[in-house]
Amino acid sequence: MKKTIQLLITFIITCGAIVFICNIPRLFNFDRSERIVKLDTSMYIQAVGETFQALSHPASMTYLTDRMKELPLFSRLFEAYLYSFELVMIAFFIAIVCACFLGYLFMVSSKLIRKIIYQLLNILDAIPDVMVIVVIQVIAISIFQKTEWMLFDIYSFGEDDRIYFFPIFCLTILPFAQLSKYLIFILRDEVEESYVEFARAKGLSVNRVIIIHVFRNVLLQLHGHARTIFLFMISNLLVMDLLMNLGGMMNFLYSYAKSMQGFSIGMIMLYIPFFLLFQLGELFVSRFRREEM
Amino acid sequence: MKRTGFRSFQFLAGASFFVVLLMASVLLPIISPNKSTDALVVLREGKKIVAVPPYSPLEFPPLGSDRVGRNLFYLLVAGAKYIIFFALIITVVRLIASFLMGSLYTFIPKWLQTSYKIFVNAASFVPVALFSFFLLGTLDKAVEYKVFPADTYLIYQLIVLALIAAPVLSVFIGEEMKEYMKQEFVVSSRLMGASNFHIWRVHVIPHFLRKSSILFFEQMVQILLLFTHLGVLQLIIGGKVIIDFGSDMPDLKTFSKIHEWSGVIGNHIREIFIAPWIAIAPLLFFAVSIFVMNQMGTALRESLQETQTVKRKAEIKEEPTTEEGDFSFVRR
Repeated sequence: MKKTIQLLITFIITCGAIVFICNIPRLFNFDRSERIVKLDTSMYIQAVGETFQALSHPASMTYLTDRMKELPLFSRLFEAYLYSFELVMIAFFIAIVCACFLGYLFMVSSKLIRKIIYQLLNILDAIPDVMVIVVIQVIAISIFQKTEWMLFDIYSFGEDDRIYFFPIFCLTILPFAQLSKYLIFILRDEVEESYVEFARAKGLSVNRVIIIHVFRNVLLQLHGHARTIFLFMISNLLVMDLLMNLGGMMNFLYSYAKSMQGFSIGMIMLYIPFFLLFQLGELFVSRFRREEM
Repeated sequence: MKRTGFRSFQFLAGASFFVVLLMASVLLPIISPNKSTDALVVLREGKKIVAVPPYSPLEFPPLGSDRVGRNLFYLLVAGAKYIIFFALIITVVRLIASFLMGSLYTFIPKWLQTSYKIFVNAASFVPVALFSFFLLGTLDKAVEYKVFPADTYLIYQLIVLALIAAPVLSVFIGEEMKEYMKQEFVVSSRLMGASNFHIWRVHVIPHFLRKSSILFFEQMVQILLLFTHLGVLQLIIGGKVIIDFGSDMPDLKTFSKIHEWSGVIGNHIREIFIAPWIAIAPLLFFAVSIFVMNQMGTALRESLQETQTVKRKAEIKEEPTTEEGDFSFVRR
């Protein structure tokens, strides 16, 4: 019970801190008529206050479209958010599953293949996410020009045109490379533990030892790394939204959230599922550890 | 013995790659100033006009040309010195700032540490690229209206990009320092009456310096990736030039003044389906640089781990072994 209250307090303070951080750009103000740039603390405090006020009734917030129409912000943002959330979650789980599979393959293959896999991962890890997206788009276009056959949708037209395959693919590939590299790194350490030797000596097969015993321990270690991967995927999401013109939340924030209120709320919305998932994961891991003891 | 760390093949090869790139970048405009600035207006074969800019890599090897008809390869090589120099400044400022903040973090009371950690945790959710776009957006506009001097703006950009990720890094460094200060020799030094400052000077700084080379390469890679993102967001570092392409209607296009890579990406990312090579060429430069930096960082990390394991093995060897003299047969 005490822990729940503590968590709740941490959650609320973090949300508050996000509002304070997201409004920092309001410190700098450019006045076009007076032709000066000024550092204005009072504007900043006012903006923070307004954001907190808006947070208490999110339905009242509005944004200006390109045609200068005022529309409710929250419902639109929430739609975009759900779409982005879907993409990130699916990509995240595909990346984990693929990385585990590659890790298994790595453990059972010969030295030469191990070296090849590792070098390929090194190269994949160095490619900027922008390049992955752009190169695949260009390849798909040139295939289309030659054969009139579109591999998959590479560009979205407007908010209602939702594409899934290509964004998920692009969002998966780099986290997959990072996760696999990390996984291989800890797998190598783990197989040198004495319990692996013992299990092998007892006559358990390699597959059984790796899949059941080693992976169970490694996945617990991976839990701590998940945060880095998640944050990395969020920054990927931004570039992807812009390059494919997706109706995701980052594109929306980039185009319309100049007032910083939408920006703050978007960031809080990003934080909520992460907080829940992470706490759940922590609970799961701690229970697992306790059982082992 | 296999060479490790700074003398390993990986590190030396990477370092020489950057030395050659920087030398070429500095020397190219001096030796042949026309190569990176001259524009080829039309490509002729005899009297027939074969192509107009932008030329594809096939028409104008090795990487094609930009919209004006300048050789993209020379342009990017000439721009290399700026982007690497910017990344270097940002990395150094970021490392020093986060080391100082991290040191402070290590020595402040526990409740302050916790609240600082919550703040940093909140900050880590805000995508750096989007945040710096909003933060620098107002200044960008001010520079466009010629209210704010462009040179000062460049310095502001570099400082903002350096400090924006410093809090997150400072907690990382601080946590590691706290772990390090639990070592026996630090604890006994404190018991003998060493002040915080003394411990910081004698134990913490050397430890950080040992680790800093690895952190340096990690941060360099992070910053290069950030540059590509800023390019997509059209935030151009180091000034822009606007050229009118229209014949009767104004058709304004912005160009990076100094051809640093992210600017080239940003200016041409919208034309990716018309002339893909203009945006892909700088991305290729980025990819190669990041790969080389990753390799250099890995070489250093491996050597650091190796020295640690060698030390541990040496310690094990020094353990007293049972000799024959310890036991003797007892006659009954």
